[in-house]
Amino acid sequence: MKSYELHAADSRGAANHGWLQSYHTFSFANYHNPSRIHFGALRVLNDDTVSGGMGFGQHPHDNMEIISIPLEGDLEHQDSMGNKAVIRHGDIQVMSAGTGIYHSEYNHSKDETVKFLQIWVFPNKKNVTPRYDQITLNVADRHNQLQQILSPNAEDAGVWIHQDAWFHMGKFDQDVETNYAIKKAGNGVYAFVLSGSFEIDGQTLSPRDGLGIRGAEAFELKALTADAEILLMEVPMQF
Amino acid sequence: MKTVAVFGGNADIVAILVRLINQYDAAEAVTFSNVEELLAGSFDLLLLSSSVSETDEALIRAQVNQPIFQHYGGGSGLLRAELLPYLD
Repeated sequence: MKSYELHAADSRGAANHGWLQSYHTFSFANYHNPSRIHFGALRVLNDDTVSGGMGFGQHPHDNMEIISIPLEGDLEHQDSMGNKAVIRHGDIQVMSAGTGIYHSEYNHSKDETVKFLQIWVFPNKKNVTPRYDQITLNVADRHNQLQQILSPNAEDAGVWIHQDAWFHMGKFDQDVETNYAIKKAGNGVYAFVLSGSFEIDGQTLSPRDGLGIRGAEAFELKALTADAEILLMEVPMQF
Repeated sequence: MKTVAVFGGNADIVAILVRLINQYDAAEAVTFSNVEELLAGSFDLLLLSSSVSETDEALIRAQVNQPIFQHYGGGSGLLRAELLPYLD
């Protein structure tokens, strides 16, 4: 049976550190809400804005799949595996922390802000060899359709992670409708609106609202405004 | 003051976790060099880092009665969110 979990944008945890404005959909840092710990294997959904020249210094991770999606501006990444890269709007970056990595993330620009999503997914295998990847997506391929940006399969479209998860992004004209079919039985989908408004199974979502959908085999979504952009994250509910 | 045991096979990450935990007034980190020492040790919470074998982790989860946290990272992020409720 389908069920829904609506997280309004203004119900997220907020942190303003001056150089960093962050909104946490799930408990993170000083935001602790026992009813908002995770949605299945999706543990972290942070919506970050970092001032020019600023960023996160070197810090460790282990046993987590970490996905970064720049929304505006460029993000500079450096890690203990020797990777040094800049990820831009249209790119997606993934790290499997596995046995442990350190990395830093800085705004590549001295003047402009960078906005990006950082998403953490529990892996289906512990202590894997750390890995890093980033790819550039063709954003035109998400116009009025869902573009796969992440999957469990290295041969499939987008980046891959150690989890039975599929992410899609789409940017729609007003009144365009589409359908999403669950890839793996038992998985749930967390829908996060980036811009504009959507209706999903009769529920209206505004910018930065999130909707967790459980028990579905498929669902309909409709753009209610022009340039409506959405991220769908399908993840295992049992992991 | 709560004593937080930090246990993992990646010494560099364990060292960082110890430093982060010791930044909290309400916590003090301790480490153990192997699972036998850990099981015999005294602490209030266990923070489990990476590179622990499946055998050792199974032993730890079966024999440690204190709350166990898995570390996932983020110096001021997840670690803080997960530890805070236990340090109050």
